[in-house]
Amino acid sequence: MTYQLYIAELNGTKPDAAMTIGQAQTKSFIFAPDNTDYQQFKKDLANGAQLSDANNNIMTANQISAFISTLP
Amino acid sequence: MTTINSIPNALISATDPTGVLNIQTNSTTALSIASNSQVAIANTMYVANSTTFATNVSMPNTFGFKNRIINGAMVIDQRNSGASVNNSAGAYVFSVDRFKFWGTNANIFKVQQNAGSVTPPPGFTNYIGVTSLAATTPSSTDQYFFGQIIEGYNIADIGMGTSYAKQISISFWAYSSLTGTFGGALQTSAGTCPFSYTIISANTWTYCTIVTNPNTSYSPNSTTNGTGMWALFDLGSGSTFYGGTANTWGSTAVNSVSGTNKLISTNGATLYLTGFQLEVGTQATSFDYRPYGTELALCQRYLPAFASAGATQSQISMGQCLTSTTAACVVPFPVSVRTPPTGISASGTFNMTQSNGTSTSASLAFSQSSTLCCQIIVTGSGLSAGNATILAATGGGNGLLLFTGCEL
Repeated sequence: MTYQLYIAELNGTKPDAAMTIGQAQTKSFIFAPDNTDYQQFKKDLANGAQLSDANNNIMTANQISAFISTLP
Repeated sequence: MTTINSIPNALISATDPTGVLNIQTNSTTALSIASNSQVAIANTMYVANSTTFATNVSMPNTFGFKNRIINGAMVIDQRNSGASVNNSAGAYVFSVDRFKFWGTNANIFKVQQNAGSVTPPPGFTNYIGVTSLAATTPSSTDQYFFGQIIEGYNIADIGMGTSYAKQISISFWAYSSLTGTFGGALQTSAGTCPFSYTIISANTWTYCTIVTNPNTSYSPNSTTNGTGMWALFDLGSGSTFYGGTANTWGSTAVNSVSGTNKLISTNGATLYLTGFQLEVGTQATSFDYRPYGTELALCQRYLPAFASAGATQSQISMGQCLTSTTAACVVPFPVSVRTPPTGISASGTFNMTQSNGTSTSASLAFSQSSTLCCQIIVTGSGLSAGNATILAATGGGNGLLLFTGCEL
């Protein structure tokens, strides 16, 4: 699974949401612990899923690891 | 009291001055008429013709919202439209609306509305079907089950965890390729009431009823918009999740009483279920059919969804172009949802049509939401900032937009 971060708030300045990329069904979600897609996102990242930042740059494993630590 | 007693080959009468009249069979009172004319019937009363009540009717079973299970007839399937879904590892999957399925390991079973295309039981047109995909032996801590979480608001009147807790009756139609005893449970975070039901004939619909004892000890998780209680059917959990006393609340978290069938342990075994009802009262009663629109609205509280339903251009909402590539569209929900969504799931093709008539294909991403509507960021090309735009699903009816995060 491949994900990309994006800014959900119209006036936001930093990514606060993620979406799936390259799937027939596109899932997008904010980082809400009760959202099952968000829960799956965290599992997928822990299992090595690819993640791009909001500018579509693929993040390194270290960057992803640091990002995971900031998630609720 | 005056007594009229029918015993074999004799009718015995005894009188007294109290004015109470008892009518007995084999010396057991069947009907009693008090001195104030109040009539008490000791057992079930069957009326061959219509009945008229001059004043009020009061009974333990409720009339409004009798069935606390939503979509118990398995009619509404907004997510999958009847498609089959395999279970995931350690995550819930949904089949028909409001019913969620759990498996510790993936691809152990699949679920589908009307799986196997058998004729539903009388009065029903749909059912949910579970099919085992292997002969699985669960470890002691594995769990495989499905069921529904009932919202706290919808069970608050039962008084669980209080001295005035009411009894709950469960009823459903079950059909399986296996015979024997199956299990399930009602659960709160603190207490569990396991139950069992028996299917005598394979591949035959069986009407099952269960009456549970009052739960005076274990409060529901929530009496507002959170999880009130679980009503679940076991599919073959590990030994850790079997035990307790049938139809009685206890503190041990189990998915079934001990010794019940494990569906997942037989490759290809099936369990179909419909007409699931959970009601207040000491006896299960006939299924509470609700209007389709009502049932759909009840489901939409947990899953607002938009399906393009065959049209080549199905309008979803209006919005405003923010830049040359993005617009914000606000989608109103058909009902007030349980809690604001936190995401969307979009499949199919969508487009935006600006106020100048130009159209562009669109991709959708969740932005923000309330309990009444959701703002979506729509990405396209050739937009003019400030223009109004109409978001629509295109492509002949394959558009599906689900708002996630409201489900329990």
